[in-house]
Parts: sequence; structure tokens; C-alpha cells
Amino acid sequence: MGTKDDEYDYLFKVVLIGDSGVGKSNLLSRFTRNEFNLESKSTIGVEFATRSIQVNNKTIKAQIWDTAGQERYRAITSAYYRGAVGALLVYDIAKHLTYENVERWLRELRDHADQNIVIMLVGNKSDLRHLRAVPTDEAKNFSERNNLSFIETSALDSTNVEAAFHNILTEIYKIVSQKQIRDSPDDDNSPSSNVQTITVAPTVNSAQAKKPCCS
Amino acid sequence: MEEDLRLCTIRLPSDLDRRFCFEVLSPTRSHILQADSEEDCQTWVKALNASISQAYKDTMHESDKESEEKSSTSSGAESSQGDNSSAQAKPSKEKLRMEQLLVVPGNSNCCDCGAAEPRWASINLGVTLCIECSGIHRSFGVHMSKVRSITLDTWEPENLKVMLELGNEVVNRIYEAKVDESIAARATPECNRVVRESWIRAKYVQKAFIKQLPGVNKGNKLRQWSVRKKTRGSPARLLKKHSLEETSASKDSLSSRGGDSLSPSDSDDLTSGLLEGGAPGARRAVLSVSNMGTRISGSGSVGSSNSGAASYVEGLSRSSSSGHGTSDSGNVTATAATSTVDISTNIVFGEESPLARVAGLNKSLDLESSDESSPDFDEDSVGDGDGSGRGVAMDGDQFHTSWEDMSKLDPNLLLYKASGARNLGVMLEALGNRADPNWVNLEEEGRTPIMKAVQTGSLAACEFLLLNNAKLDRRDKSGRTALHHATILGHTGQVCQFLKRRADVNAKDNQGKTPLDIALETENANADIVTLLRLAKLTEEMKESEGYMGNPGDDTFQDVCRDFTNMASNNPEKLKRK
Repeated sequence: MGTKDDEYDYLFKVVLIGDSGVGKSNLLSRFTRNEFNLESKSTIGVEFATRSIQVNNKTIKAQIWDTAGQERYRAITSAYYRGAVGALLVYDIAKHLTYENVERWLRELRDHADQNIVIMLVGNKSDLRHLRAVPTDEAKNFSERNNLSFIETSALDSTNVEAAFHNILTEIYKIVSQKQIRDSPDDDNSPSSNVQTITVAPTVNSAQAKKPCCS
Repeated sequence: MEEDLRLCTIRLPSDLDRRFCFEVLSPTRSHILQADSEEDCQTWVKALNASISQAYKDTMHESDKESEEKSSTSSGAESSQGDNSSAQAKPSKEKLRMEQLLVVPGNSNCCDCGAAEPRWASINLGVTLCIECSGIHRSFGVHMSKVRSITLDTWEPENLKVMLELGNEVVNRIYEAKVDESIAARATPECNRVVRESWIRAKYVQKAFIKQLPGVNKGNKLRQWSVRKKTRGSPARLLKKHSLEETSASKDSLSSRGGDSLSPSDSDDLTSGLLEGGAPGARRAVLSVSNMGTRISGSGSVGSSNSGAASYVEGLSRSSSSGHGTSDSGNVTATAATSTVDISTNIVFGEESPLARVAGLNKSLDLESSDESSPDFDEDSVGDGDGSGRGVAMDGDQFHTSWEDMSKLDPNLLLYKASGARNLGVMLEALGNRADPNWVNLEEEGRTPIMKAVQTGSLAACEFLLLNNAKLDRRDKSGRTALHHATILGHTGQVCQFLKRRADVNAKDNQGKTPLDIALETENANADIVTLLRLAKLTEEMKESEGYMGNPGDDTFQDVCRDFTNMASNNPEKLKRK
């Protein structure tokens, strides 16, 4: 049984995607453990981390999936996206190619993820101002055209990391909580149509006193 | 409430504070229902039981109609709904399973009473059964027999693999090796329950008809023994690839299933291929038996010392053309063997005729002593899972395990060796002789049979052991579990197989390393294994802190496992490291 700390109202699966080297793993470690590693190695397979935050007095537990950018076509692909309600699509503001590949990642999401998945475009490494290759406005416009949220972050100096996760989780929460209100809880597994009628013979009142089973 | 009544059982709970209650038990849930009176309660129970058996009858009826789509001929029973939807979702899969199962020799009739069209199976014994016999199997409990419906249940791909490796003919050659009807009369399709039950009890519980392993001191001159290695690939697949496969190894196993289609000339090829594959200089004689007759090729000492030993070999050998225990070629073997008596003899367990080999010895011993583990590793580091169907290059003698002294022949070591040879027939034989599935081999790092089976990369061998009560929590001398070993060897299929059965991801070896630690430090770490281990760990952690929304992580884990299992079973090449 979990302790009080483990309790949560909502559990959301969020995936991190984007080219390798854009800083996905460091975004994750900054958010979940407040750690940053300048010499981090390429991720092997899939990594997971969780962290709970408060939104509207509800505890939301984020289960974040991180994968190596170059392993897109491994066996795990479909499972990676399965059940995900949010995606942080990360590029490196200092590497234009990683931004150009955003379209490919969007296509991948369309192919594998739920169509209602909340997507946030994240321009990481905003601390590298002098090396900027992707203007903020350009990315912002792109996001608007494609109905994505947008934010620039720096896992290195922590800028906006908290905000990025907080925003996407709040957005998901809004959608989910609205959906819950709309779908009234009438869809529980009540037997209704599925039941076979069992003919029960009329009860003959027996002389035997009904003994309680408990002694 | 429940989708399928057939999966439910009704019982009266005894330890309840309430009265007039009955319980509907399904595989996943238990519903306690309370009636107004005792009579009501009884009526409910009766009615429910009646509809359960009605639901079964409907199903039997439906499945008899075979190819026809199961249409809505239901009688309005609750169960028919679930049945129809599942049948429509994957009709071809079930049909394919049935076809695959029924072509295995002997499987077209119930293993125990011979009734036609068996629709049930015991997945740990590897046999098909009629519904009557399956009921008796069930009554003995799952530790003896794990019964599944061929048409209704969902099957793990590994279970099917086990079934394809065994089959009624193979199993009966072991469990009905020396039938003694004074112990129990043979069950027939029409026999009553009492006869059926005592036959099945004698056969599997008392194991009364199993031939004991040949002992050392019974005047026979058997000196050494070994277990024949099974080659990669399920028989069915090998059959299809018949013409493509060139290696002697694949032809070799083909012969075991190819059965009637095997022509004498085929067996000629087979023999020569085998000889070429043999270790150079080995003074081994191969007693080759084709459908045409007997032919002895090769050189060196041939033969079998006495008829007892010969008939034992006969009993073990799988004859391709034999039907109900009428082992033509096996008989020939026996005669031939007795005619060429020699001083010392080896036996090879699980030898497949027409290649029943009663091999020469002495010199062969030192050649094979190095054979112990290296070929296993070489062969298996190439890829994961089994059944890749690719030709296995044969260098040296890879056809059987190292020779062991007859004095060491006990069921436990036999099971261990057979696990390393992925030879399910011999494994079953050893278990039939009451081998301990968790026996610890102190001479090999304290490993258990499943750790040995992991080395072969065979999903079927591991599954067979797991189905027969092998435990995953056992550790060898270095503190490693089977999961550690699968990780070290990079066998993704096994890792997934063990995780599905809740192997402990956090188990630490003597160096304090979990399988994940090992996976990460391996050079070119296998990303899939790392992912599976991490996901299993996450799932476990999530389970400890389950929230209102249930556990989505668990579903994902199941899904991922299913994906990997299917891949490991059907397209193992996809799991190969690049």
C-alpha cells in the first residue's frame, strides 16, 4: 500500500520526443530530480521518471517517458505512445536541423499516438543565446499554425522547465476534467443488456425458521 | 457483470456472515450475491450452473461447424455475446492454432482415450484432449495439468511452441511406454468416468507406465549417455522451408515431423549430412534406418549390448513413420542392434530415428568434453528467441550434449542436460521420472534447469519448465537469477518471458547488481532489454501506489510484453541487435 505521499488524483503519461542531443533527458532530470548533466550519455532504450504536482488542488502524477531520439523505429515504438496524453516535442534552438525535423516528429505522433494528445513544442537550450539558429517568433508562428503550445526552456539554467511541464499537465487536466463532466458516470459495468433471465421458481415458504448463518 | 459464463464457477461460500449467499467466481473477479431465501439461493445456483453447461454445449456445437463464421446462433445465453465478439475479432488466429496443433503427430485424437477431434489441451504436458479427459485433468489440479481450450482460450505464443514440440505421440511414448492394464484399464472414448479417471491417474499421477531410466548395475553395458540437441526452429516452420534448408541439422529435425513424406533417399541424405557434421575423427558409427530397411554406415564399434538397452533406445527414439506406438524403424533398430553386439555402448536420449544412433565411444568422449557450453553460447549470441529458421552452421559435434558416465544418469541431471539441449521430449521424460524442475547443479555453478535452458535461447524450453513448476527466484552460486542470465546473454525473448511471470527485477547478485545494472554495463547495451527491465520496475513501483485511475502502467507493460513476445515468437530477427 502506498503512503500518503504516493497518492494522486490523476496519473498522466507524457512522452518526450525530438532528435537526439536536444536535451530531452536533461529536461526530464531537471524536472524530476533537479539535476543537470553536461556530459550525459545518449539514452539507452526508454527511461522513466515520475513527479507529482498540484493543479487546482488536485495531485497530478506525471509519468514521463524519455527515449533515445535515434531509436524511433525500435520494437517499443507503438508502446511508447500508447496511453500518452501529452507530448513534449523538443528541439535545440541552436541547431536548425532539429527544428526542421519537428514536422517528422509530428507525423510520427499522428501515426502512433492518440489523436487528442496534447502537444507542446519546446525550444530547449535557450541559454545558448549567442548560438541561436531558430528565432523564437518563427517557432511560435509554427506552433500557432499547428495548434501546439510553445515554450523555450533551458535545462541547464532551469529556465521555464517547471513551467513547461506545469503548463502541459494543466492543459491535460483541463481537458480530462471537462471530459469527465460530459461523460456522466453511467457507463459503469451494469449488467443491463448482457444478462440472461433466470427463471426463479416461486418461493415456497418453508416451515423452517431462517437461521442466521453466523453463530 | 461477467462476459463469459463459461469461465465462471458458482459456489456457496462457507465463511460468510450473511445467509443465502452464493458466489460467482470468474478468472478476474468474485461476486457475492445474496438471495432472499435458501430456496432462492439454490435455484439461482442451479440456474447458473445449467446456463454454464448450456453455454458449453453451444460452444461445442459452434466449434464443430468449423470454418463457418460463428454467427448469432446463440440461445440468448449471456456467454454467447463474448464468444461471438472474440470469434469475429480473430477467427483466423484460432483456426490457425487449431490447424497447427492438430498436425502434430498423434494430436488428432485425444491423448488419453483416443476420441476424435480433441478440442482441449494440457499445455504443460503438451497434449490434446477430449472434453471428458480434460475434465479429469482439471480435477487433479493445475500442478499436474494445465488445461486450456484450443478454441476458446487466449494462448500465449510460447504455450503454442511447447505444444508443437511435444504432441500426443511423443508424450505417449513416454507416459504409455509400458502400459500395464492390470493397474488401470485403458480409457476409451466411450468409457465411463471411473475408468477414465483411474487410467489418467495411473498414467500421469502415479506415472505407472513410464519406463524407468536404465540403471548402471542391471547387467547392461551402457557406459555413457547424452541428450540429443534440438535445432532451432519450430517443426512447422521447418516443414515449410523444407526445400530451402540445406544444413543437415534442419533436415534432421525435419525428419522427425516430416513423417510419411520422408523417402528413403531423403534418409540417405540425412545420414550423410549427419556424418559430415560429425566431429572429425570421431569413431562414431551411425546406425541408419530408412523405411527400406537397415543400413549401417560409418566405422567403429557399433551396437547395443543387450536387447534391454536396445529396446530402451527404441522407446525413446521418435520414429517418423510410426503411428500408435508401432515403431517400424524402431523395431528395425532393435533387431539390428542386437545382431551387432559390442562391448560398450552409449545411449542418446531423444534420438530421432531414422537416425537412431547407437554410437561408438571412447574416442568420442574427449572430443566432446569441450562441447559443454561453448557452442550454446556461440550459437545463441547471434540472435534472440528461437525459430528463426536460419541455417545453423554446424561445426564440430553439436548434435548432443557432452557424454556423461552412466553412473551419473539420474532424472535431475537428465532434465538439466535436456534443458541445455532444448529437447522437450527428453525433458518430459526426466520430469516423468520425477526430476526436480528446480534441481541445483552444483557442478555447474549451482544453476537450475531453467538457467541452462536460457543459454539455448529457446522460448519453448523455458516455457515448458515454467509450466512445470520451475521457479524464477532461484539463484546460482554467483547469486544470479534466470533473469540475470537472460540479460547477460542478451536474450530479449527470455527477458520478456520472465518479466511476464513477474520475475524479480530488483534481485541483486552477489556483486549487488540487478539485471538492469548488468544490462546497462554491457557493451552495446541492448536497448530493448533495458526498456523492458525499466518498464517492469516502473510498473512495480506504480502498483505500490495505485491511484484512483487504476494502473495504466500495468496495461502498457502487458502490451509491451505482448509485442515483444509476438516478436520473439514470430519474427525473432527483429529483436536482433544491430
